[in-house]
Amino acid sequence: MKIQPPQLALMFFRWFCRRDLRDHIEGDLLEFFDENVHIKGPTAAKRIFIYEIIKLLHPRIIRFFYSGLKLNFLGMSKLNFLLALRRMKRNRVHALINIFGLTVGLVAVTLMLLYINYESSYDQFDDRLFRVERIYQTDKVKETWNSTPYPLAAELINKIPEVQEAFNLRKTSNYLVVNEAVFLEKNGLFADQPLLQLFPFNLIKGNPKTALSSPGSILLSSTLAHKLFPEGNYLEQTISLDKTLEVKVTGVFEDFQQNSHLEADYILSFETIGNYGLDSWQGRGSVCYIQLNNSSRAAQVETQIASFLDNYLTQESYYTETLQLRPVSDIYLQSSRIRGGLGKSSERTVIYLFLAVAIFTSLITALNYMNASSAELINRDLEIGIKKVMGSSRGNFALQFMIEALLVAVIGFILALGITFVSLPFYNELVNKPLTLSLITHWSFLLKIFGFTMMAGIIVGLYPTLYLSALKVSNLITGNSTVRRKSTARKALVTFQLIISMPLIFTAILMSEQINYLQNRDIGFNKHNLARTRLTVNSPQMDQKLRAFKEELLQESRIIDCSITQTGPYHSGNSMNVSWQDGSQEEHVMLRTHDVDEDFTGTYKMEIVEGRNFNDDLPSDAATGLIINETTKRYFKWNSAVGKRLSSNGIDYRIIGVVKDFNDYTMFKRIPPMALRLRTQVYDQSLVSVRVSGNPDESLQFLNTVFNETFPQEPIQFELLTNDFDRSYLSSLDSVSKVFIFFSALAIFLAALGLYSLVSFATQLQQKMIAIRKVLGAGITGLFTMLLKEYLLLFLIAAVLGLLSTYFIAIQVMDVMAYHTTVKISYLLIGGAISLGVVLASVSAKIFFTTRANPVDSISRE
Amino acid sequence: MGKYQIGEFEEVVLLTVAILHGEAYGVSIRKEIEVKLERKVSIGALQSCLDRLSKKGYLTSADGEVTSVRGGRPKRYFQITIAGKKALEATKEMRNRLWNEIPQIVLDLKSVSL
Repeated sequence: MKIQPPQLALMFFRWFCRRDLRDHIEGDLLEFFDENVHIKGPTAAKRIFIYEIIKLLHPRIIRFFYSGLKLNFLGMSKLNFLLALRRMKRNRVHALINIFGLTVGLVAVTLMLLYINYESSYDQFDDRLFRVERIYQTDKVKETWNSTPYPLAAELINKIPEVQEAFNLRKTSNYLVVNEAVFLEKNGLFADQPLLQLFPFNLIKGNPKTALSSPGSILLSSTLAHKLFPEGNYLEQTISLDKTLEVKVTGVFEDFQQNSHLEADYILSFETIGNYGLDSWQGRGSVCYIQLNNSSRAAQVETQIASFLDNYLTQESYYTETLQLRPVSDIYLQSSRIRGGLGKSSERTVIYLFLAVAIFTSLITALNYMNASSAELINRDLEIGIKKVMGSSRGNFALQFMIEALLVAVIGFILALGITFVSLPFYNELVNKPLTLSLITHWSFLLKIFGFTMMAGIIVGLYPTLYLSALKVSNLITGNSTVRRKSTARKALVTFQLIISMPLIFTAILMSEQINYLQNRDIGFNKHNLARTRLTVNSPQMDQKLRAFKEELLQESRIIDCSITQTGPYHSGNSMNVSWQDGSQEEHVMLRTHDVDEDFTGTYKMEIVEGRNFNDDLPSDAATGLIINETTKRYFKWNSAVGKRLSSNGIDYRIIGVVKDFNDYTMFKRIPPMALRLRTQVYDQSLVSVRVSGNPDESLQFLNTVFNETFPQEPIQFELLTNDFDRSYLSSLDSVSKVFIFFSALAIFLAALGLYSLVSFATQLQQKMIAIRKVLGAGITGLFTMLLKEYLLLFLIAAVLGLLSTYFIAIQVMDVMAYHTTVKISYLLIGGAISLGVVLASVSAKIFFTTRANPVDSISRE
Repeated sequence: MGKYQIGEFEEVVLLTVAILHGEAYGVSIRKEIEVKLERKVSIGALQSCLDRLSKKGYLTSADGEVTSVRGGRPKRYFQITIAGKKALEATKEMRNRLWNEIPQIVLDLKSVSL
């Protein structure tokens, strides 16, 4: 039997070989194969045969791959390009809607992705940060704090070999006095020396190995250094800290990166703080960061240190405290439930919301583009039919439709890129982030966006290629094609679009409601017209002078009330462990406390809901009196709190009153159990709060002047509480929600646009039917409702599905915020009404014009 | 001179076609080159070269009779054209001219010492 060459290889050869060369080369191959079978044997011959075929893959021998007739490829592309441009020109409105929709969608998605990218890029700009962990402490009541006892850092290095390095941080704000000029700086840190090694720190001036190692050292950010010493020459300069302590500038650092959770304008060496509680294991004064050595895993070290504190906490400590680790790169997005404040943090939910809107918007954009492009095909059946008759192959159609689709995609992408570049500065102002976009550094990001656009373009081009080339020529030419009839798929797409735009409307309403709610929410005190300053009271004489001055101040008509306290809302606070003896059972809670005077509740206009306020003249109030807030009362499940006793550190406190819950820091977090203690004398740091009337700015001016005259040796700068207050949380939330609402509106607009172009094509199909009905005497209103009915049904299906799913998602989302508005059914109705309005507006506009048209125009056209 | 530029392998193929006058087709050309020059030639390389030479006009080709030996596939016979011959001559002449210009001393060298 004759030995056959490998058929698969031969088939492959026959497939790729140029037609004019194929036969005789195949002959050569076969002849050569037969010869080899005789000389080298069948196996070797077959191997050589395959090998030879592979070597035949030569550009001169491979045929030109092009289906059907070998047309002038370049010429056809040029023609198709021209045809696409002409079609756009003729169908101007449609082309504009298509390109505009794509562009707007792309801009929105790009901007949102930039924001998301930025928000998730925190603390990832340097390799060193990946090895640093922050320590959290969780107490018995499951509250997790980021603050730990100061000695912990040093002890961890000593006792746990895996911990290579550790340091403490603590927030501070001070008056920096340089040559009599006073600067109130609120963004300071106390830090241990290793901070400079563990964090990517860029010291412009000074020695990074010793800059923070001795007490009385201060590092300045380059911005602050310029502000304090405009003439340059910063090193070794002395600055007076709150006019009480001289510190020496040992270095200048480059401003912190914006996407670092840490921020500071100046850094003081930790020992500068003095001996104040630094050796105590009871306090929670500082935040501890550690660096593990290369070989150890965080999870493993975490189990080792979990109960580390047990050995150090004394018997009186009622709490079982456990320690956890958290990588630095997680801090920014995952600290909203952590108590104790240091560093910037955001809500992960915000990112998810943005991501959801980005996905929805890109879906709507892509769907719109596909919808609008494929809807246009119904007017082209004749052209396609004739082309088929003339011998166009599937490949020819593919080329044509691809060029058309990609042309729109490319134009849209280029426009979007331009608009994004132009609008970025405005967007940055809105979201308050330094987002950048450059062709060079963001090329891979832009490439992805481009890829997304092209993918949509290819799908758009593929659909008609596959669909139309399967249709019968006779149907296409006679106008009986199914293109004109089959609208089920398109209807499904519209419904889907409506479904996904509904959550957007709904969430946008909810967000704006939430902002409204937070802005107008009762925070438990009146934040308006409150001027405050901090003041260092360093002697009993000064305390007396201050109180005497307070009485004097109250004589002024514009001063309504004044309170001298140690701390206050949005201005630090203390904490104390208290226990309540209830029969045999003992209950504990950590109370956040403020040491205040009797005028405190009056000045802040807080409400005493039970019992009475403090009285400065009652020594018993100062010794053991305690006013708790409603949360504390609820915590102990008391019906009546007055007269109950709480003990802490051997002191038996007596509850004399209950103050209505008031907000003490960000509204993202719930109000903790709190208490007020009476302190008739203040030492050290104090907070002077003054309620003023009239023009707050003038009052501020007045206060600053009289205070600085009375206490010339103290730096004083009154500020209005509302400024601090708004900065602390509302601004960030506000800008985020504005952006969110803006993009949601955009997405809804895009959906409406898609609907409009779809309806316009659908009605075009029905023109003849409408015309005939009109001729037969149908009224405009009748026609209008008849056409609208179809869309209303779609809308109804979309509304039920969309709104129901949104409702349940929204409830989940809202739970993240400590204080939120209730998700009301009325929002659903408003959301439904808005989308109904959008549908009606876009649909009825088109239908209206169609029904108004002269029937002759559409009937005469055949 | 520049008019007839052909590569080394092209020259070999042209020469072989000329040698096999009337009998030059894929397999025979290949065999001839392999035997005479002791050099391996793949079908792909040879065929693309033949195609190139035909395009340049140095070779013409005609399909031969169909026999059952080659699975019913015809042989394609190649023949050198006038232009091909001129190209060969030009190449040869160029070689000779260059050879003649080599100084005698170089040709006498037995070994090069540096």
